[in-house]
Amino acid sequence: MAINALIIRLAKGSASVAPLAAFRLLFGLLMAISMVRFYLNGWIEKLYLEPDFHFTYLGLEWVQPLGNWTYALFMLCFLASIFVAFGYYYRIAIWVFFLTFTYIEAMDKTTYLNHYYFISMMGLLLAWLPADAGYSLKHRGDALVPKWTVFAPMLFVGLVYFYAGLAKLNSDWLLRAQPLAIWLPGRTDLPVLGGLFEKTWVHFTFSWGGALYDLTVPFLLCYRRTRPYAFGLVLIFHILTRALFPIGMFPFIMVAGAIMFFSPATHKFWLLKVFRGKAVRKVTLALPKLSVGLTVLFFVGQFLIPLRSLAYPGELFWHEQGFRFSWRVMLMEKQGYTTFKCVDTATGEQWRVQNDQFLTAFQEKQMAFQPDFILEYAHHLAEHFERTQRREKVAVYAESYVALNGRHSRPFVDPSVDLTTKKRNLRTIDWLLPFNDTIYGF
Amino acid sequence: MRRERRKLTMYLSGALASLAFLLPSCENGEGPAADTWDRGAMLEHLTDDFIVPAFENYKSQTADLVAAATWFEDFTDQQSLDRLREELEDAYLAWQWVSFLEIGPGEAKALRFRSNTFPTDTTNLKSDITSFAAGSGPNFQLPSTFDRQGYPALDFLVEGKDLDYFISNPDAAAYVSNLAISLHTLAVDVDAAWENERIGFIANNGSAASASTNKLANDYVFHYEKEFRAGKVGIPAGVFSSVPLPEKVESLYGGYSRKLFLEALKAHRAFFFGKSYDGLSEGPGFAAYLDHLNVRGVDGLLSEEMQEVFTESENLALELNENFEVQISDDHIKALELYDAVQRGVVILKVDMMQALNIKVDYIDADGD
Repeated sequence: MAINALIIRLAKGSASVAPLAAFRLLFGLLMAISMVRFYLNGWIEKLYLEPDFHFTYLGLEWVQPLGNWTYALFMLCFLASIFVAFGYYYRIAIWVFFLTFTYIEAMDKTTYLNHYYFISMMGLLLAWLPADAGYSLKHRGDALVPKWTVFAPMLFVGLVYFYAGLAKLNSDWLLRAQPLAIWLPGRTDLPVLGGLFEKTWVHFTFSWGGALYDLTVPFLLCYRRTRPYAFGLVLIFHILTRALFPIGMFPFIMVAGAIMFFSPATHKFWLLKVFRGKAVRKVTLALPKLSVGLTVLFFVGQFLIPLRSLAYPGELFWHEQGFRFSWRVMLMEKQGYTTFKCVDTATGEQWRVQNDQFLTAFQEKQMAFQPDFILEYAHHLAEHFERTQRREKVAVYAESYVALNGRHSRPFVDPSVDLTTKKRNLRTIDWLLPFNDTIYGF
Repeated sequence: MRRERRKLTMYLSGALASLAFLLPSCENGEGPAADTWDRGAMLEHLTDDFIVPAFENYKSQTADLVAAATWFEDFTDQQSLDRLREELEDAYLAWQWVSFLEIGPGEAKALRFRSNTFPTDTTNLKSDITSFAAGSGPNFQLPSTFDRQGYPALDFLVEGKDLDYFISNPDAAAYVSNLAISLHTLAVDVDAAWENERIGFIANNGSAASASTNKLANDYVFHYEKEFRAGKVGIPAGVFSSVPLPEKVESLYGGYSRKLFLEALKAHRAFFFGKSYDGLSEGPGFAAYLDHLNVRGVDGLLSEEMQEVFTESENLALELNENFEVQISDDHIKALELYDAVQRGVVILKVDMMQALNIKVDYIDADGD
């Protein structure tokens, strides 16, 4: 009954667009800054233009950097962000943003980050929400929109936190304080707190505190009474992680997400200073059924995608099938070293590969411990030698060692398997050696 | 409206207060507590007791090389050729102690590329001798000349040619001096730059990718993998090609590739264990850092596991011909065994050590999450 009532209230009721518009403005501005930052750091060149080979997502192999046009792609994404921020030609701008940003991320999965995925998905969700109904260049004053459209992005932020918290409920995180027990001692140079970072109790405090924070903060943000404290926690948490780890724009984006939870009245106050509109209008969605349908589909997807790892046997942290797109953030310190042996099956000649002739240092590092990278690269090597050296059939074997969360490195890929006989697909990987340890938990 | 303003002020002041609380912690440099690992002390030890004396010695060895080369240019006889060969070997051995220190000044000047890119391009080298005699020698700063200068070029001329060659080609003797002077000038430059930059290098004791510990570790591991493992053993042994390539050994003409390998091994080992350059004392280095964090290997400490790798590699190398070219031409399988032993160290260093010390194995300051 209560849930029914809530759904009806959400579906029928209307609310001020202020929180949604505020988020739109912050999101757009942060994205614009991100694009400029990416360019100024020289990353377009380093990450997308310098490598000869790019690691692709299954089914998105056609998404490749566009040569020097890649710069135009970033420029387009930057402009779209500005347009989104101010709600100018919003509908086109947000779709352009979503498509360009997602294309950029799909060009090479070496750069995969959960928060890039978050941005992509948030862009998608915003694409059919009336975020420009008010406090925009289209309509400077307030607007009343269907209540659920204001609520939807908050639900998504909450879902991300909650899944991130669930993922921390595992024995490595809670009982061994890993990987923080590795990461924190590396930051003893940080004054005041730095001196504590080698202490075991600090590792555990941070681990348990982090898990508790992720699991509770979305709820604490929902209630007026706890909200100021929750927001204080959000700030402390993200400033701290920003000081400790190289996580770029992520803290700012999450802070913007938390700001959205404040009441419309709070937002109206500052938004009116920016947009200076007086008129209030009521907005109905052009395609209400489609919007609701897409939103429901979006959340069903977001609910299920992180759970897909349950379909794979074995240790998730080891084989990583279903690890991405699941809000599993900061859970692993994983490093590997993988080299390849090629065998010409016709002549019996064999040789090993110097990875730096094909990959950048960054790509080599990411490839070394992620099975889907190893497989794609092995296929690429076979094709390369078959094409350039006119060999009929080249078999590729990997010799690989991986260390996970402070455990000693151990053999990773079965060295007797010719990786060219294995297809890239979503089936369970059967060419890894066992992890020989158990990590309990979600 | 007033309530909203008050609320907003409250939130903003809360935000500012937390910022004020946390930000100063990023600024003033208070020393770490006594029981934490002191990276500054480690950097100071490695810099003052290893890097700086290693470069000092290297500088004086290259000065001796220049002296012997100019002497040979003036008095082209067998005795001075013998002396030149000795000085070349001494300098080449001293080089092994600085080769993996391509950080800071060395990196900026492409020290390793210019000093030891092998095999050398003998065709272009010969034409360089003629053009140098005509007053327009190559510009050694250009990457295109990296494979016709430094030790491999000197090795080709000094060890590969006999006295008769130099008597009939006085230009070649002059060119040997030119090569030696260029090596020495580079050594002087880098050594002087280290004197200037040592304070900043030691002070950069943080944990960012650009901090000294990270650079030092990355460079050490990079050198171990690419130069020590692949360059000295793997490539000539045919690991990366379908056939052995004995002509790609270090000191192809001098024939003392094993000696150079063993010297490099000694240098890598000393640096890893925090030995001072003169070998007389020991201080905090990578091994002690790992032990401090109690990093374990399969059984025992990880540092002990690395010690085993060094010892096994040394023993296997001693079983090889002192000229790797001869060894690989006769029986490259034994060289492959040495490669495998050295390779074990790459896994220990690049995977286990880098993870334990929380050092990222790349030079790109890309974001994480």
